[in-house]
Order: sequence, then structure tokens, then C-alpha cells
Amino acid sequence: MISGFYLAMLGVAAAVFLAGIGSSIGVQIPSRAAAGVLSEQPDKFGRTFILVVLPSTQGFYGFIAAMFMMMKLGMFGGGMNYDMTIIEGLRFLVAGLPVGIVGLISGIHQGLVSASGVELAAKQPEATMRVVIFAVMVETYAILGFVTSFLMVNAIG
Amino acid sequence: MNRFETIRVLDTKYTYALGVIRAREVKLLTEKRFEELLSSVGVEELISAMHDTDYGEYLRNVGKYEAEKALHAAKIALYNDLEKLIDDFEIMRILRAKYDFHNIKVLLKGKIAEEDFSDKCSTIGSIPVSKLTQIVQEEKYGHLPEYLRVAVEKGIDAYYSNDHNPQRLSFAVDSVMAEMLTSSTESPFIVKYYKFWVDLTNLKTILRLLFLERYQDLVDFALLPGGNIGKDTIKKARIENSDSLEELYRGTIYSSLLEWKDSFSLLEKQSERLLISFLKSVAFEAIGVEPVIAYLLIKENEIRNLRIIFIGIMNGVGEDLIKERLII
Repeated sequence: MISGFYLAMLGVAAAVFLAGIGSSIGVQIPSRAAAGVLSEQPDKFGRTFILVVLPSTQGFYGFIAAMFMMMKLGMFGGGMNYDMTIIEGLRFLVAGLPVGIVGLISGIHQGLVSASGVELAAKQPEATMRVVIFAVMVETYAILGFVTSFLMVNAIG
Repeated sequence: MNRFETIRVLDTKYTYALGVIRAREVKLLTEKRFEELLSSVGVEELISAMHDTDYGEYLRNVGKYEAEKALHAAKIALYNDLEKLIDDFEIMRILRAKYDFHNIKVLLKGKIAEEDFSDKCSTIGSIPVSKLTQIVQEEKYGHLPEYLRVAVEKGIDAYYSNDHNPQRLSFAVDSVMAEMLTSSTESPFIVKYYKFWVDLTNLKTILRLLFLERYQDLVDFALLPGGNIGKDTIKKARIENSDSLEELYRGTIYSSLLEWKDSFSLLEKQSERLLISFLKSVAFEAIGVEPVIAYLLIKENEIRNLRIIFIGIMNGVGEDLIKERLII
């Protein structure tokens, strides 16, 4: 029989898992581009680093949301409610999805924007910071996903 | 080939290569740089002006008559470098194929003339010239890859069935090459590029045949297959003079080229420019192999421009005339 507790844990896992995948794919794209640029222009490390790191934040948002969900579930205080109803469990599952799904998609797309920035850094180093702003625009949606998940968990009684 | 197309957003196989290419693109010669090179007085000055470019290492301690060889060495290095960089044998095979077709044509003509033309072959092809020469000498065409074997068969057949005319051999081999390049499954970008190239080549061929008043005799053999405007469409258009060409090309990207239909050199230049602008259109792609292929072909054009400058300056051709020949 499906237990509400397992659904809640699935919500916690989804937040970390999906956002983590988004970040790992998102970071590898500009990392490879940066490795290519650095093989020709080693002095560009500082300019490319910030673009490579940017897509990693989604993973952190997913992790922080998951920690908050685990605290709410009483995981750290020893007061875990294993007999939670399916409806209660579903609330946690659904609350984990915004940060997870938005993190997955925005992480990949932020990686692509960052990769373009890394490529631009090779040609016009002075324009790199402008692309950082574009990449941060993608970040906005990851933050919105995180805040939504946070508010949804907070609303669970 | 994979049954499913790669999801474009995750096509990050060439991201490293792209990073390298972007860093190298900075070193591509600009129009201003070409003008500086053009103003060199003599080949020696030109060679020393190029020492700070990508070609500097190939031109070090090179005499004025060896510069062309040095540029060819730079072209070989370009292909070898990109082959290592993208690590994709199939794509490189397609990109090198035009040199294989050139080599097989040269060697077959050499065999017909009973002379050794192997020194006229390019070493950029995917099959070593020595191996290709041996195959042609021993007539062991079964050892060739499928695309070259078909080219040889059709080339020889065209030669013998048309009064031993070597021109027909060239037409037949070129047709097989166009078919291969416009139907490869490795990269849609390469196919698009070569379809574009076939259309431009056919347009120039039609104008030349009309000029020579040999359009009706040679249209079946000289036109290349595989273009966006098919061979059959061109034949059905029943072109009789350069004016009826406008009807055929109206509304296409090529219609603007007909403005230069009275000057082959200008038409040649404008059509090459159109090809280069097509290559430059992928300059902003952040992923995929397209910008890497475009870089290779743009760099190849750069080497061709340098060759024109070297030959022009060596032969005392005026700066303006040389500049007119450059595709920038």
C-alpha cells in the first residue's frame, strides 16, 4: 500500500534529484567550452570561471528546499510521522516539484547561455560581464521555483 | 545513423572544439589586415608581414618560390588539427572527400595520358596519395571506398562512351561527388552547404555553356545533381539565353547573382561571397558542429586569398586587381 510518508520522501528526492541533474548538465556545457578556450588562451580562466559556476546554483536550491522539507517532516528532531496520510504526503511531493523541474530545465538552458558567454570571452573579453547578466536572467526562474517550493512547504501544517 | 535525431539542446559533443575555435577565430585575418598584406612590396616583405599571423611558423625561413608550398602545409595542418579536435571520423571523411575526388580525377587522367600525375594530387584527402596511385596503376578499384569506386566506374564509362573525352570523365566524377556530398547523413549543415554549392556551380556552368553556345550539347553532362534547384528542373526550363535564366532563378537567393551574369570573374566572386556569408550565418551557434565546419571552410578561403596575394605580388599584378579577386 502506498504510504503518505513515501510520497513525501519522493518529493524531497525530486527536489534534489531533478535540480541536481539540471546543474550537473548545466555546468558541464560551459566547462567543456571553457576547457577549449583555455587551451588557446589560458589567461581567460577568471572570466570563464563565473560563467561555468552559475548553473550550479539550481542544485543548491534543490538541496536547500529538500533540507527544509526534511526539517518539516521532523527528520532531524526524531519526530518523523511515518503514518502520514496520502494527501499529506502528496503535499510534500508536489511542493518539491517546482524547484526540481524548474531547476532541471533552467540549469540546462543557463549552461547554454553560459557556454555562449565563454565563447564570447575568447573573442571579446570585455563583453563577458554582459553575458553574465543574461545568464542571471535565467537564474531568476530557478529562484522563483525555489521560492514557490519554499512557500508550499511552509504552508503545510 | 541514429534512428532518432539528437535532441538539439543536449548536442554538446563539440562544445570543447567550439571553445578552441572561438579562441582561434580571433586570429582570422580581417579585411584591414588583407589590405596591409596587399600593400607589401615584393614577396619577401609579404612573408615578413605575415610572421605574426597563424601562418608565421610555416613561412619561417621560406624562399619566395616556396611560399605556396608553405600555405599548403598550413592547410594540411588545419585539417589535421580539426580532425583531432572534433574526433569525428565520418564528418572529416566528408570534408576531405572533395580532395579524394580531385585526386582520383587527376590519377585517372594521368593513366589515360600514360603519365605520372601523382605530384598534382592533394595530400588532404582521406586516402593517402601513394595508396590511391597504386590502386589506379594496378586497376584494383575494388579496394576503393564505395563512393570513389562508383566515381571511377562512371568516369571510365563516360570517357570511353564519349570518344575518349577526358572532360566527360571529369563531369562524371564531379556528379558522383555532388551526389555524395549532398546526401551524406552525418551533418545536415554539410548537406545544406553543398546543396548551396551545387546550385551556384550549376548557375555558373549554365552561363559558361550559354557563352560557349554549347548549352544544348552539354547540359546533360555538365550540370551537377543534388542541388536545391534540381537538374531536371533546370532541364525542363529549356534555357536558351541568359535572359531566360532569370525566370528559373526568380524568387531564389541566387537571383541577385544574375546581376553579374556578364562578367564571369565578378559572378565567381559574388557566388563565393554568398557561400562565405552562409558559413558566417552559423557564427552565433553555441552548440553543434556547424561553427567548427564553418571555421574550417572560412580558413580554407583565407588560405586561398593568401595564395592569390602571393601569386599576384610575385607576378607584379596591381594591388587593385589582386583585391578584386579576394573573397573577403
